[in-house]
Amino acid sequence: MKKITYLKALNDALHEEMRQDDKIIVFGEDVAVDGGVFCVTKGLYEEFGADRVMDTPVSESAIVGGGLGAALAGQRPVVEVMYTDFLLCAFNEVFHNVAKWRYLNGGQFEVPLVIRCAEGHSFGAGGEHSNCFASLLMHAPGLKIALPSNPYDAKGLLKTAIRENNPVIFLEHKQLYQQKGEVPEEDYTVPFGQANICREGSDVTIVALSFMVGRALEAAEQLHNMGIEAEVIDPRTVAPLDMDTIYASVKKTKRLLVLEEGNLTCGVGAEIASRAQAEVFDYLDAPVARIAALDVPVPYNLTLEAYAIPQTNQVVEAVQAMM
Amino acid sequence: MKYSKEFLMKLYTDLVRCRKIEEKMIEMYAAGKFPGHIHSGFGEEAVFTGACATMNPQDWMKQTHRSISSTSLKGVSTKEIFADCMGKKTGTSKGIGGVNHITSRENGLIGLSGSLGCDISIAAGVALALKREGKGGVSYAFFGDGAQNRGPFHEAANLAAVWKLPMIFVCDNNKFAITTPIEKTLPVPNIADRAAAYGMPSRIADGNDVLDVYEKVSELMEYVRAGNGPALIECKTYRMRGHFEGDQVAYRSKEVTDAWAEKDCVERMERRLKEEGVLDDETIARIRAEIDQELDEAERFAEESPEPTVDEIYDGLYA
Repeated sequence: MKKITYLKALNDALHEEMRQDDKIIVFGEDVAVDGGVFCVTKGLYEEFGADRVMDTPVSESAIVGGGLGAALAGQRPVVEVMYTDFLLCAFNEVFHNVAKWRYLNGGQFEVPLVIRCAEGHSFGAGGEHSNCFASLLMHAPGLKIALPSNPYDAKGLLKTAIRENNPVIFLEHKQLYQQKGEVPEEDYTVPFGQANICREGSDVTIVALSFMVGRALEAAEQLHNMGIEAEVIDPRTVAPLDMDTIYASVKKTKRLLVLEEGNLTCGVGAEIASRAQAEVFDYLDAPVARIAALDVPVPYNLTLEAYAIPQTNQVVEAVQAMM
Repeated sequence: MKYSKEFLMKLYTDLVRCRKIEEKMIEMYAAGKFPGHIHSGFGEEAVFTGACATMNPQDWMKQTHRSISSTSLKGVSTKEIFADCMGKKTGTSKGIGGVNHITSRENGLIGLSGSLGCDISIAAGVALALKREGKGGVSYAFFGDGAQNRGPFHEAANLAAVWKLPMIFVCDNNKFAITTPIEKTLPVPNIADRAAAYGMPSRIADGNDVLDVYEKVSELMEYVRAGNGPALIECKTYRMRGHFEGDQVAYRSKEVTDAWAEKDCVERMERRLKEEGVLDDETIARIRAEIDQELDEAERFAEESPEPTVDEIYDGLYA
């Protein structure tokens, strides 16, 4: 199978879906003529024209609200909010309007809107360009939230997102854009709410999100050399969240560690740990462990940045302590 | 005469129906029939009635918390309006959204957001969809003088203008943002002055004169419907009731309010149409009686309607 980058996978998904349905429109800051600051929308403007691919002013509230309105009136917008961090400029629109419009209006409207954002730390991007906000977004019933960790999932999840009639926040990780992986040439989708068991193991379950899946897999390899077999699970979407796959794994391994790049307090891992202890308490041989970013804004200095963000060796040490 | 009798009778009837819906809502709320809060548009009916009279069926609309009765002008029955106010299952939101979420997808009525003004960009998105559809639809965004101070209004105005979207910004300036008078929050004489910053044409209408609103919006709609981009109308009126029902309005002078009562939009229209020989007392009495009967039936319908049940609480959350 052909290996392509996560970036190319996303770009291919957009091209292929836009060819199928002319109600799909794309807009955001620098997405048209320039093709996006991360190049995800490259070539769309040339192929689909100014009617379907549009640059916007620096106006996240108008991008998100405009996307919602266009979706309510029958279009299928895929809007880009360059950095997840800037989504907070439109948090009202996301939390109150995008997430709630269908429910508060008696289910009359479908909301086929995708909001794409780039998240995560990236070599000194600093405190307002490095955030991972999945946990904030999970607090808004009505949203679906996808975070692909590899090129195959990036393409398959984005296709599912575009075909969804519910609003989707699609979180791409900046450090994954250049990662290569096998992606089929033929059309496929990856369903929401179905976790991926990235590596099977019998001794500990590591649930990891987005870029942290790679670190979990590195840790699992090191643990294997020490005689510990880790099972690595990537939920792929946190809303819906496939807890059944996690429960089944924990029943087998008896240990659970949740790894994420967002801040520790009230993180995604807190939710997963809470649900797991309620559901599979009797199977656990150790307290649920959590590794997340330190509770500080991400520092600019590279040493401090690396100290704030979870590293592979921390995962290895945490698992050793659980055994 | 400039207008047909048929047009004037329809406009008058719509105006009176909106007035009577507002009155009925005040009455039902005072009788404890609604939960939550209502924000009466009593006295401001000429703004939405006059503007809505310029609409075509393919146009879409976003109302405000103060123009609840205007949903009757965009395909929602008075039965549904009162059922929504009472949180009943027969309302358009099935008891979930309440008074601020009266919508009709099939009639292009999208509702509003309870975080006022933050929904104006949604109306801009609707305009984008209407432009792409190419059927001549225009997105009407109603908002108040308070909401236009929120950032999203300015982002939406800017985006709509640079994209030349078919959209009309209709500002119902009732001069108060809850307790704060407009003079304390607006650094320019008129909200219409803001339009120049976005290269939009604007007009100022007497918000207590339904025909003046109709005429000024019509002038702007020629520009909007020709594909030139958005426009803004400011309708100057006065909030006759409190911000919410129960507000004692201790923050303003009764004399000023009483003076505005003299300019009541329904009485003015009635006087004018009587002078022009369009209406007589008998016709007025008949129109009013018919609306009263309709609203009494609607109230009864809402009262007798079932409540949503707890097993339905997740319905509509996801498609």
